[in-house]
Amino acid sequence: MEVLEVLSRQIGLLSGRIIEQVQSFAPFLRQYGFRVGTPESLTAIEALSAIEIESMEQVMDAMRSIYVKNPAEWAIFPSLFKRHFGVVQHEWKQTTVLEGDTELQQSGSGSAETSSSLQIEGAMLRAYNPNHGQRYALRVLKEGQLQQILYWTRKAVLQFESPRSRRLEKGRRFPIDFRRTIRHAMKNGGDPLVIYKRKYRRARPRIVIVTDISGSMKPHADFFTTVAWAFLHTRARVETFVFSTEIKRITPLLSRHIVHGIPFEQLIELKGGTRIGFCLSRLAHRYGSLLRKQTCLIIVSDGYDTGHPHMLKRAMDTLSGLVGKIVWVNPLLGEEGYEPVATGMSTALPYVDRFVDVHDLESWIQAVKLTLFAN
Amino acid sequence: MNEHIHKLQEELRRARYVADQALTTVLYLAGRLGRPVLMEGPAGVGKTELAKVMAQIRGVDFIRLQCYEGLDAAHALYDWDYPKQLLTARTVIEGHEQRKISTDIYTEEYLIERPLLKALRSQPAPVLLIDEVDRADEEFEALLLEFLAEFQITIPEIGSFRAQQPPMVILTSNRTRDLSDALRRRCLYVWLDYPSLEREVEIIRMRVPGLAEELIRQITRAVRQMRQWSLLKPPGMAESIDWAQAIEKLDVRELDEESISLTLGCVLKTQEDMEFVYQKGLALLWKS
Repeated sequence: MEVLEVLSRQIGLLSGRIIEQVQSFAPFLRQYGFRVGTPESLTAIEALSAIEIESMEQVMDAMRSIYVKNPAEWAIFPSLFKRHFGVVQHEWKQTTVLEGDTELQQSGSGSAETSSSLQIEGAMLRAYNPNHGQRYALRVLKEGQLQQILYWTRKAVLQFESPRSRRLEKGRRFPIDFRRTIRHAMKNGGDPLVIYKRKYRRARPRIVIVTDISGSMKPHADFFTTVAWAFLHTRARVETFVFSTEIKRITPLLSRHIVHGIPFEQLIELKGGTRIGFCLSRLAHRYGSLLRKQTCLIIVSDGYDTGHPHMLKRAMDTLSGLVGKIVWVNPLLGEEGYEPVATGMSTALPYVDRFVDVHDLESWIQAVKLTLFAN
Repeated sequence: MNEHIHKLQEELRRARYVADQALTTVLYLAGRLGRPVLMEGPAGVGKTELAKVMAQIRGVDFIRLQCYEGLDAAHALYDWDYPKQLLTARTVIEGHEQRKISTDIYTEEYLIERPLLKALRSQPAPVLLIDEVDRADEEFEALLLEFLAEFQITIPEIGSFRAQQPPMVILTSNRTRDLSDALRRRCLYVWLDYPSLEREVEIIRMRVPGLAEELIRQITRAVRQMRQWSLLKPPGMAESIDWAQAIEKLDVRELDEESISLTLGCVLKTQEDMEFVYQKGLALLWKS
């Protein structure tokens, strides 16, 4: 922080109060999952000296481009900015005073309207506590189980189809590796006595995992989140989603929080019901670029759908046309007497290439041993 | 508004690109701070076009690197002219010239510039577009880090090339995969979404000046309606402009079922979307 202060004072004529506010902004944003630190604060201070800081709108635009790294952050940034800085027109004044102007914020705009606005912002800030979020992801699984799931998931990934990459590797009967051939030829006076060749590598398998986390799937949520986490740590291109009434991409959350789980506030938009058709339709339309012929789509759900069956049928029809293979993992399939006759399940089954029972570590190992993910 | 930002916004407008204050501020800061800009957003909202326009208003070269899976250093940074090297080596050997072949054939004479190296060495500094960076492999992202942070490329046989004047770098991504944190941290970020109704009308008016105001509004409303229908390929700004141009060329006076049916191919790009829109009813579009 000392470095930050020294550097920021060298940069321009910003007041001590502004620097203080910018300094505390990064820790504030980190509470909401932003991965920002001193480099971003420094860039922000540098940017502030390049624009007119009297215009809070412009300051917000500048800071947004610096602190934000993805669309979700892009959407919530304005409200967080407003909360932190208590946006009031002309709140900041450019000044040559470096210290002792902590009253600047209160001066110059002391109308009744302004002070009430600040009180509301303050109240909102106090109402929030990042520790209140429910963490349910991987916390309950034991270390041994985690390692085993990772081990068997790595084995499972070997079964998935690997498309041909455009990258080359060494091998016979393939295009000449000119760089290596010429380098070697120099040793023989320019005669390419050995022709080195390369072949196309196999690319990493593309896997999209969509997990149902509605109320009925809660007993299995920890296990499947662990499996999704394990997939992210294998040699595969994996994208992970969870859904209930909405669908949410959780790849960055899972890879970031690793085994600590996903905070509840990160999944706040997902409610208790299940709209499989709607969510799969969203997946096809919003994330269509992830779904290619080489992609294997793994849907983890018990098939209890409260949405319209026609919507699920239409979504499955679209998805089966987009991806190479659909694997439906149903944790209820292993239960005695279970028949996939629920409306959602029976609607989806005609479009499913593999219907697999996985509900715990044992069944996961069994599924991998039976090569249920191979063609 | 900052005078420079206002000026840049006006220049963009003169180059027929309508940018809001947020986007203009980021572009201005990119120039001032010497930072690359990472733009994400749905396809067809004008990400690539913006890079072209920036080159146009700066009066500099526009260099484009289209990313794809398997893109590597030999295609993005530099390569050696191998046939020329081989010929030189044989000439030297056969002519018994006293030259140290192993170092002489690794000079700039044998170097082939690829887009990134070209962007570093060009004067005045060009605008470099690294398009659809999410399509390239993670390894390629690592390759970009030195370039984006230092505006420098290291060639083992020669040394490092650093830009005298850093180019303006614009990266675009359609989010087919997550980009690494290391790459994101080096860039200023912009999420470019579909424009508002009024802004879209303004853009079409600017691009297709001959079209009647009411027709422009009808087209805009119809396109916005289609974007809400969860199509496989929702129409972007490019499709709106194409559609408006088609309507103008066909000399259509008013949007109706027939004119929409004839020109729907300008907006929708898959058979499934066509069927879906026909099922919904074309009337919903021209009456929207």
